Amino acid sequence: MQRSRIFGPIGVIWFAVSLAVIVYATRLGLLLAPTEATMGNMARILYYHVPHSMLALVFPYVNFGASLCYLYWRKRDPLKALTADAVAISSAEVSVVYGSICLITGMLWGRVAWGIWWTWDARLTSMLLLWLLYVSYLMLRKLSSTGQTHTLAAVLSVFAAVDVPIVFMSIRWWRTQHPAPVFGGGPDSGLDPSMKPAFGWNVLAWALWGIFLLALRYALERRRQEREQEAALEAIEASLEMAQ
Amino acid sequence: MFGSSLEARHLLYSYVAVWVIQGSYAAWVFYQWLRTGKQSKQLPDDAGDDF
Repeated sequence: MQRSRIFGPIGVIWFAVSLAVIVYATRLGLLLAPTEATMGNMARILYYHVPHSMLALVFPYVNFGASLCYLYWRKRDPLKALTADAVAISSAEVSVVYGSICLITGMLWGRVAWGIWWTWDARLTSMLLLWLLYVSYLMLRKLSSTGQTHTLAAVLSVFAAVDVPIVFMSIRWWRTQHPAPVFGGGPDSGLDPSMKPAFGWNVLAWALWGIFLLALRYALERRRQEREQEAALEAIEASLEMAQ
Repeated sequence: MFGSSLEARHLLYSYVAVWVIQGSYAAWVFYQWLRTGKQSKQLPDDAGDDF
């Protein structure tokens, strides 16, 4: 069998394009976008914070879809279930990475803008809960040793996905500390046209990078599954030889 | 821009935190992927060879 095609042309090109777009978007956000009138340079954190926060609500749905597929296929078609399981753990890890960045950059911004690192505001609390749910999903998969681990993790993932719309709607349902929605938040909401390129390029950059991470982690998980299957086959062969 | 004020320091910390977290995770996955390696036996569904 040839080596995995992770470093085939698509993987290499995707990685290179992602890095190039990240560099370009960072330059736009840090150097070229105008300084915001009220927050000053602190607003430049939002060019990283908002795209990561948006994507931290997208990757959980990849995990949700893959977990549903796993639950459907686990007895009908175990090979497809393994594929779905690899997508599920990959997207859960990427969700934790993006969620962590969302929380950390949000706290760094809040310390300057609000004078506090943290408040039990509806958006912050629901986002922290979402992050904890995916950390617990990963811990369950890592630490549990029963044969039902993957099934239990898939069920947990379905419940975790319920928190995603709550996080998204929290700043619409409850008006507390977190700023009001910039997009679709009413007549006074919206982004100044001069800031849109930096924002748009950063969303694109981190989305491309997130897809790359997802694919790389998926390739790793498939390799691990392959090794486990080979070890199981070797154990069966050895036991058959002993029986003869 | 990255001066010594609280505002400037937190802007710097934010960007560095993003690069460190994203870069560390990508490096960890890549290292694990190399370390896991590949064995010669072929699986029925060509597992691990579909990216």
